[in-house]
Amino acid sequence: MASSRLIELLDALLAAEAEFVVIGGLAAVLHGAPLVTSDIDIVHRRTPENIARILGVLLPLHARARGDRRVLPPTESALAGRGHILLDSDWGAVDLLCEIGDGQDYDWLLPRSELIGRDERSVRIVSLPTLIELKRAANRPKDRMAIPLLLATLEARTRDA
Amino acid sequence: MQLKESDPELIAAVKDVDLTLIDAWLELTPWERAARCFDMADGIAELKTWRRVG
Repeated sequence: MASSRLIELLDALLAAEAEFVVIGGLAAVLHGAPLVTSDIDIVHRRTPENIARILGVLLPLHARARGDRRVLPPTESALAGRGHILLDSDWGAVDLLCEIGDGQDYDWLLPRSELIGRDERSVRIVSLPTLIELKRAANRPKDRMAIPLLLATLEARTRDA
Repeated sequence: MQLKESDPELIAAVKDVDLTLIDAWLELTPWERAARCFDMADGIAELKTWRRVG
């Protein structure tokens, strides 16, 4: 699955005025961490209007449940729930997280995020300290491996500031 | 940072990080980094499809 069109996918979500926070590996990279990731992880606002905006972008790109041969497209009810919706699309893999953990939804992330410019628009990404705490809480092997890089990146950014 | 102070293993691991790599990465714009990251991911995915022949 090609990843190189994922930035276009992000642009399409921005053009649709979808409300979301980028988390995960892409947020780490945007903050400056030298990591490689092959998907986009976002936590979306779960209003009907916003869910419609997101589906309006993803469905024409043939978004479907990852690893499921039945080609199941994402649904409004799934995006309004509390789970993690892992999708492939014609432009790459995207994970839609209704909540990261219990109660850690879009509204929880808002004060723990920052905006970075993307052409004339802005993308909201989770703050680096919050990302580190989330990785620590997830505590999967890949998260444990990323934490030292994220901490070193935080130190480098603090030093440069 | 509280997390780091509470975890000696992490303190040791952070000291092992190659800061020149981070400094070089920080010289790029966020979107240049994202583009390179996805290009590298595609390259790794392609390598995984290679098969030894002989």
